[in-house]
Amino acid sequence: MNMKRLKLLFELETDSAYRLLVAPIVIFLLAVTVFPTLFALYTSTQHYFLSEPYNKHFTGLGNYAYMLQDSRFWGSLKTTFIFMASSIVIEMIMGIALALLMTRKFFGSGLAKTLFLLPTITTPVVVGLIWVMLYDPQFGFINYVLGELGFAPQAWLSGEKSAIWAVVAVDVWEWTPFVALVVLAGLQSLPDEPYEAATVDGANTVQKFFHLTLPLITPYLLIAFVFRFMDLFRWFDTIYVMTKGGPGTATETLNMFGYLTGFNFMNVGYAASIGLTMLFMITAISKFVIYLANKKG
Amino acid sequence: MVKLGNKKASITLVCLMIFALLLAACSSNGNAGNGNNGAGEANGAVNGAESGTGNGAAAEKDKKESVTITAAMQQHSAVDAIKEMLPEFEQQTGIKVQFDILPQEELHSKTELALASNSDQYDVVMMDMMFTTQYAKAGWVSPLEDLISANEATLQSDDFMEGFLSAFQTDGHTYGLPFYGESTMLMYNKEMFEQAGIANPPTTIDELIAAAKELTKDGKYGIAMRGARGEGMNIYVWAGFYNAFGGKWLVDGKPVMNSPEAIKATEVYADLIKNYAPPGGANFSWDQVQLAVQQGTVAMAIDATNFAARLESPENSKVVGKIGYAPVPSGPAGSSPSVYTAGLVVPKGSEHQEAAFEFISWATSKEIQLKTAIEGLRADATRKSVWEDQSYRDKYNYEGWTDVTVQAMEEANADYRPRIKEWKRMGDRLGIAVSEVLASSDAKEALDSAQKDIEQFFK
Amino acid sequence: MSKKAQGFLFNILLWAMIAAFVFPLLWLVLTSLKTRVDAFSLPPKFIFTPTFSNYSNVLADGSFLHYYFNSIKVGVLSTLFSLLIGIPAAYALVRFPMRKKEDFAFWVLSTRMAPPIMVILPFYLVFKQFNLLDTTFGLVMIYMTFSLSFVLWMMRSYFESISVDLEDAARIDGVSRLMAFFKVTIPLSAPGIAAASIFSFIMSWNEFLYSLILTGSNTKTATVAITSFITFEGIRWGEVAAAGTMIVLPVLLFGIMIQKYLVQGMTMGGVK
Repeated sequence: MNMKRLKLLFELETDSAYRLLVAPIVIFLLAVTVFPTLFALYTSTQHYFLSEPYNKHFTGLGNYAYMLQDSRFWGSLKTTFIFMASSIVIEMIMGIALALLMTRKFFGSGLAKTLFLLPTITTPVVVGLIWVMLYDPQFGFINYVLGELGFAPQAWLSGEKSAIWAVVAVDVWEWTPFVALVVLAGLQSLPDEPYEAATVDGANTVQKFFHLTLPLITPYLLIAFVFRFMDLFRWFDTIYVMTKGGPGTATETLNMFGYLTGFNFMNVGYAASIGLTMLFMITAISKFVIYLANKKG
Repeated sequence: MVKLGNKKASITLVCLMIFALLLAACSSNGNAGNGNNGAGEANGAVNGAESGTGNGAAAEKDKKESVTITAAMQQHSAVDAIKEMLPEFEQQTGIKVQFDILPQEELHSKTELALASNSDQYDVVMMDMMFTTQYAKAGWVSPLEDLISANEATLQSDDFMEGFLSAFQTDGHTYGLPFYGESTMLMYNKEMFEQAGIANPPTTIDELIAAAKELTKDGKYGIAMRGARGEGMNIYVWAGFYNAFGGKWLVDGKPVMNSPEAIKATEVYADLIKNYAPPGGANFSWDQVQLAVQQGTVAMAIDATNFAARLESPENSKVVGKIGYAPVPSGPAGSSPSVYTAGLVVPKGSEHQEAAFEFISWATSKEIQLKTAIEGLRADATRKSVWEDQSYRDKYNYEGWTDVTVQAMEEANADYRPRIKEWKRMGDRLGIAVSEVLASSDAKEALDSAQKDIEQFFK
Repeated sequence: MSKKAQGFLFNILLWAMIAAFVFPLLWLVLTSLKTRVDAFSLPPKFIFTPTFSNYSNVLADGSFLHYYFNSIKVGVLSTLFSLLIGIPAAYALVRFPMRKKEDFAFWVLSTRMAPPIMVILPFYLVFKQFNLLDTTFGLVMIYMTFSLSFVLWMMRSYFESISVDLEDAARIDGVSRLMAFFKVTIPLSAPGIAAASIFSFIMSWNEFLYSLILTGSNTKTATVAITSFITFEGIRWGEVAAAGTMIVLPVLLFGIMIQKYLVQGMTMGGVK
């Protein structure tokens, strides 16, 4: 390659110069992703407890076979889906409702939008700690308010049945504002004409919402969905701080189960197979959703 | 509100970030710098220590000058107190100590990772007694008996309470020195007992149930015990019932978790918590139990002996002077007080074995235990001489407390919970089972299914 | 009901809702200013004599402050490096004819999706091999894996909104494309870059799990350090609240600063 072409390349004047621009990111990401994935693949074929180094041996698909008949794995998978489905559904419905409210003019709307987003960016570990305080069955603020209103105190995070909903509520608190603001962006981008036409046709508000607004903001809903889905699937910090998967296994999501398996029971072989299974699921589902989004949008 | 709509603002922002970076760099030079220096020079010191055993003491002290060791510990008021005394230790020995402070679970994960990878990250690790066998078997921790006998004159290892020291012994080796020790006892609110017309604290489990029933009224509750899942949580207190009813952990090396005794013990435990504990009691961790006693919402609790210090401190507690202390009530197979101790061990991977040992023998010495106990608040000493010391007894002069505690500590058996390498998983599985029973499940079903899973762990 | 009264009621309702969303954060700050007795008293106290003793306890031995600065350092460094290699790639995606653009962008995004539990042990072992455990560099590298995908996606959408004509005009004036990129595109996208940096900073600031496993007493970050107030003898709630307030404060300030870009940022440029 002569000097002139090299100069052109570095001045980005040739089309192939993009290679130069993407090279660093490609090299970096390959370096930090390929090895761990290969290593995880290898580990997942081993019977390997960190705590019993003298007893490490090849088991082939043994860990995966164990996973298939491990009731705790299926339980955590179920918990993950209950957890994701309910969080996403509640956040979507509340988010849309809030966004519709916020399209109306009201006092201090700029400030309100800002305040509204604070839960979303608050450090998750701290979020968990705050809610542990608020949920405290004896001295928490929530039970105090319930008590004043004449209700019996609840166990919240420590109740076998209530725990998962208490955790869902925290996620709803943290992320509904996010969904609302995404939807709001969608609502503000709506064209006026179809609405005028619909008004002429005599459509009422409800009809307008279902036949016009909802289809028009679907791309925005999909975006909110993809991001919530990705984050919820690997959600960790807040649950870890609040319940560590308890009581029993009531809030043990797949991610939590994987963590406990690897770093509490030190069964790293099994933990690697759980991790890979999760990676497979999340990639497949995201690809599918993004495919849907592209098809629609 | 700042809007970053223009170039100027962005530039300001970048400048701000760079400034913050510089600030951070400076501060870390100040704080962590000595750590780095220490690590650099430390290699020399190790060589010195290895080859220099025969050299003159002065030369060795010279070389030790720059050793920095890192100790992974849980936060504890004794750790605070020790931090303050570190300059003294450094002056005496030339050893600098850094702490990596983490809560229980996190500490366990991190230190085990470091141990498993034979890392030199930690020179001293605070270890839960339940891991002695497992760590020893894995070859992760250094046997210390040689160093102990060489230093016996100053160390006085037979001054440690038998149950605590033996918790760190297995197969004829000693792997750690007890830093913190506790047993369990019954704590009861004398005022509430009086009001209910109960004269004496219950001595048997049947009496305990009767008293709990009687005391649960008017928004107050009979008892609080740990319900949260975990081998060191609900299992820790539940195991007392398990033993008291005559349950066996292993028969011929095989686990037996669903014996009739085990089922009975679990039923009683669940019965007490479900009916007579405050709402949410099924998932109380020990600090919620403690809080409930401190606030006077419960009349009784069976939990760690060292609660007393915080029950009797006016800034934390509303029941100062109102608490009575009694031995754990007994069941058909007697009373089974627990034993829990956290010891300081030296990882095999540490490059400063001797310095680490010097630190742990200093930190567990009578002088330091007494000093931290008198100046701070720690009712968890591990040495007999500390418990006998008048100044200690004067400070922790809660009625009957010292006697009951010492008695419990002397009675306690290190294998109160079995110290086997499978314990962590077995204990966690049991924790889930007990948790399930506390929630609603049938004790027999829950233990049967736990038994099935636990058998897998022994394969 | 008159229109005016209706409007008034609507305002009240909406603000009540906002108050409900903000309340937990307020509670955190209040708790950090209470003594232990006040913090646990029933009914909860809203009016009390504030004390700063929790803060002085947190700051007492300097270690928390040290970890706090670690967080800043790691956040700033990982942000700078991510910008450095993320921006060129984003530019390439927008301005150059490249095959399989979408696949490439998705691949970068997918690095963010890997469950930590799968990658953290391999990282731990490699880090140990190369002496990267408990180093700022190691943690910065990890944090870059997720802030990169973020910078790439966000900047890509930002560059798309800048007309290529402006660059072309500069190039007609005789500067190279590289110079046009620096002189025209970068200044024009300054707000986007600022927002992306703040986002990437917040993400690394908030991270917990990797920091927990991969750091030690030297480079631990504030999110891990706060757990040290969960002790053997109980949770020191006052200190937890004070440390929590200190951790949350910069994030909230930054959030308010880039409020306009928050949604765009959080959706990686998916919503403008």
